[in-house]
Amino acid sequence: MGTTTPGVSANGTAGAVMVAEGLIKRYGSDVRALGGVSFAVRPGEVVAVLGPSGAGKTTLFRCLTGLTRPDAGSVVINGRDLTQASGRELRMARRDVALIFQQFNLIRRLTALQNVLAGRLAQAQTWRVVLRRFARADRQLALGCLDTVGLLDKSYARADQLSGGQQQRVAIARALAQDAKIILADEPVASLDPESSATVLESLRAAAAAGVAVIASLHQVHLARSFADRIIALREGALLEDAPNASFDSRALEQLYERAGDRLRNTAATL
Amino acid sequence: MTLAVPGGRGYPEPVVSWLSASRLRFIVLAVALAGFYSVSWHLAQVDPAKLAAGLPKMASWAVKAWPPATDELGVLIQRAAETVAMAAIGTTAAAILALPLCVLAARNVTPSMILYYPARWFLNALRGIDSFVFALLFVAAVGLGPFAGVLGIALHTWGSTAKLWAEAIENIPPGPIEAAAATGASRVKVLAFALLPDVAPNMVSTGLFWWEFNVRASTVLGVVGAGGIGQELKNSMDLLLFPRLLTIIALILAMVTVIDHGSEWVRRRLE
Repeated sequence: MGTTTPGVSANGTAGAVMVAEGLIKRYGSDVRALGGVSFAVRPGEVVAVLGPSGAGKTTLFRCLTGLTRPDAGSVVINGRDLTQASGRELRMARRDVALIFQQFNLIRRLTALQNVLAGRLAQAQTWRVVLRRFARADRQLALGCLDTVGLLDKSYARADQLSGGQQQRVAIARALAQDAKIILADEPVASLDPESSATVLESLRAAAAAGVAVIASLHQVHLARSFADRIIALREGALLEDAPNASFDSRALEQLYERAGDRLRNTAATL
Repeated sequence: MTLAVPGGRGYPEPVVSWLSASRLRFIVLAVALAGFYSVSWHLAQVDPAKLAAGLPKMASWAVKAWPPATDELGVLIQRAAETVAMAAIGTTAAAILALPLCVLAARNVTPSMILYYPARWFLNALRGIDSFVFALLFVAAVGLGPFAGVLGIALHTWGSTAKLWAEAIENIPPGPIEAAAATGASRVKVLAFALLPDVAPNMVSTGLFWWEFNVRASTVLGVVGAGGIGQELKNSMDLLLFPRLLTIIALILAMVTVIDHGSEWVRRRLE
């Protein structure tokens, strides 16, 4: 199937912040979304997940966040298996994982700062959340996170008055404020123009520089090559390739998009 | 000058027979509507001759009503205030009761479908019974006076408001709530922080609408003995005190106009 035998053993799990092992997910009896995916991610590492539509990227991300329960396999974060957790335990585990969405998912009527403070929801006292009166320490932290993504001057602007790229950077600041160990970004730049995409990916790199592991699924191969430390290629629910960016086999990319239509093939060919 | 057809040839178009399925449907619908209205006309006992005979009587009342009686203006204004207060207390009580119920009755945020259906049934029952009917029952239970009106308004408005609020909640995009829940925050925090800002303007607007509506509705409640300006209206009508009746009608119009404009002004500023 693949050119290498990627897996946990190949990369090692020592010092890993997240270890996914043998993830299998089927929909119905014959649709195999994931067929035994394993990998580990270290703190500060930036991993790009590539693959054509239907390759299992979204299912993989949903398993990594506990939104979907895999049929087999485990996702261990901080010694806690997310796939076995439920209720309160799952909520505790989720604190370590911050999500970035394609559609940003900011609360549009709140300011950028308040949206970043949403990252403190789990820790803040309930009355402070209800009255939207966060502690000074939380407010200072949130402002710092906005500074990190270069949006300190927009702190008090309403979310729906920001551009798409700015909204996505606010979402990254929210992930930073959450003090998560891992940022999972599902198609973070798919609805952005090239310039905004670049600044958003820069912000994700800034988060990684602060020690957070970043896993981002991308559609554009050239973005993955310029942004990631490591590239994971998925096809038909299986790991096709898992290698550092520098030694990533371009032939694997061609294989990756081989059956994914002309548009994608052209994208890969321009590299 | 006619525009030349690009392509320059006759394109075939579908041939519609004179008795097509859609034309048949239209004829059946037209016959059904005609039948419905002719039956309704008879059931409602519409009789233009009676109206023609009655109009001069009304005109003579209008002549007798001038000039309006002002000797009891103080009392009447107090009764009008009673009506506004009845509507305000009833609507506010309804809003407070509706707050928890609208969460149960909104498909996207209800904690469980086991609670969703009973909540919906309960709200439909409250909504199905008019405040007038509730007031009639409460007059028998708690005696004559505005309090019976307050209870009647509260119960009917509870059902109506909670249903509209639940629909407002169901219409908001799920993304921001998902994003807030993904931080590991509890349900109460997520709803208070991510849902409330989005639906609050709509909720306040709906609440104001119901207050406005209830001010108009509660003028009628006086007829069943539930106090307010409506009670004076009925007394004057029973005693054929036309000048007093005119004063009361003018007062009601003034009251409703002021409240409509006030609440419209507030609602415009909510966006």
